Amino acid sequence: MNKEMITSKQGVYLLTLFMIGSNLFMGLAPAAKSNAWIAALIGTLMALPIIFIYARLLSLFKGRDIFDILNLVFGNVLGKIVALAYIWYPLHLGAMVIRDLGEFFNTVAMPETPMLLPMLFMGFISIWAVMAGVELLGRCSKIFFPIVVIIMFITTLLVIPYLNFAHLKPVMYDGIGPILNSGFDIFSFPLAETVLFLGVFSALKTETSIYRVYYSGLFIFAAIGVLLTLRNILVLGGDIVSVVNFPLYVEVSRINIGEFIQRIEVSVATTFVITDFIKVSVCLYVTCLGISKLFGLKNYRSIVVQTGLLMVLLAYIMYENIMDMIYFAFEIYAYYALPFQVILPVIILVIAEIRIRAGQLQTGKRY
Amino acid sequence: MKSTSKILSVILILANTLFLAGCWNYREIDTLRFVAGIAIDKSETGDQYLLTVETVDIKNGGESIMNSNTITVAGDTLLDAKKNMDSISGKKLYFAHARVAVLSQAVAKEGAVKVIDWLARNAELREDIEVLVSQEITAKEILETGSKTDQIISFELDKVMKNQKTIANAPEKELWNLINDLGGSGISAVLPLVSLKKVNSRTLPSVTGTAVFKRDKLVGFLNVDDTRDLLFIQNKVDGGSLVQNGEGDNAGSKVSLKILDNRTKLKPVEKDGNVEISIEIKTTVAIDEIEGTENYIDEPGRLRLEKSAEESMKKSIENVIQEVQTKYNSDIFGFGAKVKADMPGTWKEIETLWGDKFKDIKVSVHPELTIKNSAAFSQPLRIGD
Repeated sequence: MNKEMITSKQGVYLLTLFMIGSNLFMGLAPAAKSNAWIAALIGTLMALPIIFIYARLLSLFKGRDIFDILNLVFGNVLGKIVALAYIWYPLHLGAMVIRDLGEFFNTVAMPETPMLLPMLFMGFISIWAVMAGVELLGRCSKIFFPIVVIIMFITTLLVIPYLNFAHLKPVMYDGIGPILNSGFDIFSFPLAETVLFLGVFSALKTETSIYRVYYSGLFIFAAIGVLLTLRNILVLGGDIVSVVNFPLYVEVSRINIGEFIQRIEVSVATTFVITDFIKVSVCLYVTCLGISKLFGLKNYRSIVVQTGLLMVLLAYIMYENIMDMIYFAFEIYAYYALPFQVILPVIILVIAEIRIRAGQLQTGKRY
Repeated sequence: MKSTSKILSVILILANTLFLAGCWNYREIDTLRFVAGIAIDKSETGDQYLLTVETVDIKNGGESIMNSNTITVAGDTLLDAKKNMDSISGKKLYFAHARVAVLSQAVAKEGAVKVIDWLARNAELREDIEVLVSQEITAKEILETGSKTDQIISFELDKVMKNQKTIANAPEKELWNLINDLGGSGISAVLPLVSLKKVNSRTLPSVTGTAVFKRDKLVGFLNVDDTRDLLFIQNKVDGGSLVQNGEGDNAGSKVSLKILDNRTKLKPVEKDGNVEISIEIKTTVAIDEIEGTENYIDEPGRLRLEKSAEESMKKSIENVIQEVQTKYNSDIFGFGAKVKADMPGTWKEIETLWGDKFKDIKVSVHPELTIKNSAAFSQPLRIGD
């Protein structure tokens, strides 16, 4: 087995870009309106314990990915059945992200281009990246991360004249209920989606602390997410944020400084494509890894192309229109993803701990 | 063998760039006709919209010349009218560079949302387009002046609107701002008014005054002075002038004060179970013009001038508020929104009653004027014998 390695820094960047993914552009918790930034903070708090579970699982079984862990913890047969869940989830998630990109291009950037086309190209490039391996993804994110941060930073400077702090008031006008609800939305989309990194971080160098990588990624994302959500609200106002499909894009399109710096929303589209690419690639990688482990293939690379095309096709047929997509993303997804994100990991960890205590499992060492 | 396959693959990749360049719907600039401004009227029968666009026709030559041209087409909805227009104009209309949208009074009276929705939803139009209401009978005649004056009238109007910050003749409203106002609770929308004025021998559009809305329907107008007071209350004055009548020996002559800076704070206060609004206005001005010889520059004169200017400001603002409360009963000042922001608890109780309550709400105005300088001269002009 060839062992690919990513450094802890690359791991953090990969994790952050993955979380920025498509959701920042669709707006974090639009339902919370002008309190979305509080919801983002609460979502982060909610994610703290679950991320501890993921990191604990990974550090118990260093160098193993989730499918190995399932096999060890549940045994061969049951482990493979549970593994099916972790093959389906990234496949579906990747398709959703590809679809987000397609809808984005179709509604905002290129309305007359068939949606399949940008989706197909995103599929191709992700297939290529996954064929090249996790190491390449790690290095990619090291290059992309500064680009994303710089674009966010510059656009933040440029929207300063448009900030209207009156948009923040009144704080928590509708009470804490809707905010908690939105916090939970943010928890499931994107924070707890990092459950997929159970399949990726087996490639982390063994001496790095997985807790540190996970939590650094979470905090970097939380900082960016809260900042951008605040920005959206301050510029657009809570009411508008809750009705437009891509608030960040609309916000940056307002920038018009001296009739000279204007129409720079393409920069946001760039970051959208970059982070989507990372997210799709991670999803595709985990799916392929799962399938190869399920059937005992020697190498996951032989099935990347098929799985990738399948993902694009699934993305193409999964929703009728953008209204379906928004409805699914904000109303249903949080509950749909709960088993994959919380219930299964908790069960796995509990059983693993019991069996380790009982001395039935040997951990921490690589073969 | 290996190098040939490498070269071949490079050629293949390069060949792909030919097909992948740009977007799917590739359009050359000379196949498009640029729309500079939009005017929306109701047809005479009242069941159709008349969409007028001012287009920019660029003639190339030694020097490129821009000509204004208007097209008016009827349609059941705006998109319908736009489609009908495409079949007339030949080239496809391209809306992304449209700068202004003018609504006729009839359209505004019927409800602005009906037309605003298409303007906002349409992905090609940008949300920073300026929205105006025509005080003339139709909206299209505003744009039609362009062909007579060799100017792209929409672009001129856009520049006038961008200058409003420093002249305070009309409230500037970009589309997204208007949507915020229409949707926000505790605030009603206003739009700038545009009318035609004869300047020398030419007829030009002039932006002065305010169209007052209640919900999304036009209910009335404010004149230029009232508009300035409205902008004072909304903290949107950043320039402009105050004209003060002289008093005492100097009665009959006037003093102009140039507004340098203005800050307005709305403070809702609760008094015996009723909400009252206190408006604090801090204005910095410069003496820019003194008719006559009265000394307004030394301290006693200056204080007198400050005092009388404050007085007249207070009076005129109170008048506007009263006029709006009694005549239109529409919260264009955003008092309700301010109450919601500062006293959310109280707002929850009175939100549903606000429509009735607004006209009885007590408002106190506290202007504070500071004279900063007297422009280039330190003394009034003297008239010798």
